[in-house]
Amino acid sequence: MNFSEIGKPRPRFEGIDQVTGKSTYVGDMYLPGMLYAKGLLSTEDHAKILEIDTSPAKQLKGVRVVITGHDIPVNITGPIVQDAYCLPIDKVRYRGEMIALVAADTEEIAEEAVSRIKVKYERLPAVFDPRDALQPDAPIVHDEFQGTLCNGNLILMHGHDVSRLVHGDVEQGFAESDLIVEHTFATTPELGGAIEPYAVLAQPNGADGLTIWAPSQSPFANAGAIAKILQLSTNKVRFISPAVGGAFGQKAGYFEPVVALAALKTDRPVRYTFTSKEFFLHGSSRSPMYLTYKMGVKSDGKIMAIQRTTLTSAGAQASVGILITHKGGFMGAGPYYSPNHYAECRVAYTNKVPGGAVRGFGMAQATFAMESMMDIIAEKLGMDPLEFRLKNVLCDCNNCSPTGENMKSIGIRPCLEKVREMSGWQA
Amino acid sequence: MKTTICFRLNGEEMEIAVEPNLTLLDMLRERLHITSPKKSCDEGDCGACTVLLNGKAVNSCLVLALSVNGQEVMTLEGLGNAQNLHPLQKHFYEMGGSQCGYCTPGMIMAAKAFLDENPNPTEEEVKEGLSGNLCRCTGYIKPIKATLAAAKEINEGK
Repeated sequence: MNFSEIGKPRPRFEGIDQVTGKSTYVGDMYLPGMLYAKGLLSTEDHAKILEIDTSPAKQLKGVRVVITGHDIPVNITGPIVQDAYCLPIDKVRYRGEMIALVAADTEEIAEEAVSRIKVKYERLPAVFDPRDALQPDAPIVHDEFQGTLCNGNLILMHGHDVSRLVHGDVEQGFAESDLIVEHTFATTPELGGAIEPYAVLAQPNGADGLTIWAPSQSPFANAGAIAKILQLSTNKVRFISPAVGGAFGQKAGYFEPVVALAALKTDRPVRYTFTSKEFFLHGSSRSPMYLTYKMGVKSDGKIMAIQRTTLTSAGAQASVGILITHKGGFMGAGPYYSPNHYAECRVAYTNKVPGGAVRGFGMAQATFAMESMMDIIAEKLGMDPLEFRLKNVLCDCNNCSPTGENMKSIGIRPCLEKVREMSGWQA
Repeated sequence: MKTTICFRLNGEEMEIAVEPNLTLLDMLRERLHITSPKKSCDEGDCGACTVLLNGKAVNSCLVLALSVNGQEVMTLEGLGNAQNLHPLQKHFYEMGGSQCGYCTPGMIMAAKAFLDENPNPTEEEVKEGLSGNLCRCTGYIKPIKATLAAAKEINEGK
């Protein structure tokens, strides 16, 4: 088949800039009088902060400002629920959490100043696994939000402990099945691994407020958060997302408000460029999940029931973990038809770096579990795994999704058939 | 204590005083504001900072600025510009060899050093030649094809 556009390279709009080295990423920007920022990152997983002594850092020549949580006008933020401290005051909840920020004449001075800040911690027991986090004696990550944002470590989703999806009757489906298979899968917290580490540049503009440059995927949400945190009116915060050196969901804003405050306090531009190590420590990862899938099938391969229980580790902040848990819940049965569905999804705080979107929003975890189940069941049935899938894909006759939508233009069958033909697949 | 060094950067004589621990990458970026060499891992793993030192590809984060005294350094800025693209730049542009663009300067410079040494490579050799440059967007296929297309164009032009 001949297409006018498909299969033909389309030069990128910014391609010439990229191949000539003219694309400007935040780390490439230098403003007159610009200061360099560095953050002090927690070396503890979970600890009370007894004291932060910034005076040795402040005494260092070339240090222009040292900021701690006490300096932040409204020290709480978060994309869905407000549970993230710009800089924590009372305790740290994960290793890599930023506690203080220094802006200095050079990056070397800022690094030296950070190393001179003395933090007295009182180590607390930490919890890393979301299953452990739900035990009655588990260390509590957020004591201050009990009953409002969480019960124990279980994060409330629109006020509920659990997000449930019910369609048909799985118990009846299992009763009618010839084979029932159950497995629990665990996924890991992958990083997007963008080659450009995160960076923020903030420039104070006097009465005009601030301009902030960061490779963010959420510039408008970030601008709103900065305005709220610094108590500025939103028209005083201009947020520019210039060239972004790969994001994959991981660049939705990190420490812009703190860098912006440093710029306001010094009345000079301030840039913070993460090292790769800092980005790996502090950057959000794909939220790890436990997924228990139980499926019932007829001996001819027809799926009768899909029951799923998932538990997400949000890390120390809910961040977008609530949405990821929901989405993994309602999309987790994949492109397959079953007359009966039941899903129960939970999300828990842990003393880990807050999770987030990474190339997908809860679906990667759920798809891994579902497709693994499809292979396991096909093997138990002695069926070709492709045949087993073709027998169960949503189609015009069985087009009802687990959420009750009647799907249209379902392309999965012709797609799988084409792949079978082109790959020469033989069971 | 600073030492003054002289070197050629993209064909021009440079003179600059540098500290003994300053890397070539930091000198180019922070002192001279030559920003096509990118800083990512800063320990020689990713290749984003690749420049040519006397025609050979090096990770500029692993080269001390002092050591380029009397040497010849070339960055992507010296390879070509929008009006006069080098064949590698042209084919990376036309064939989708760049996506986010962050690894692109290092990758093109690595490809340049590679083609200078091996003007008529096989696809396998190109893969080996670019193996020191990490990319998270393209999946490498298009940079490899662009490098092969550039090799062809350079050879036909001779």
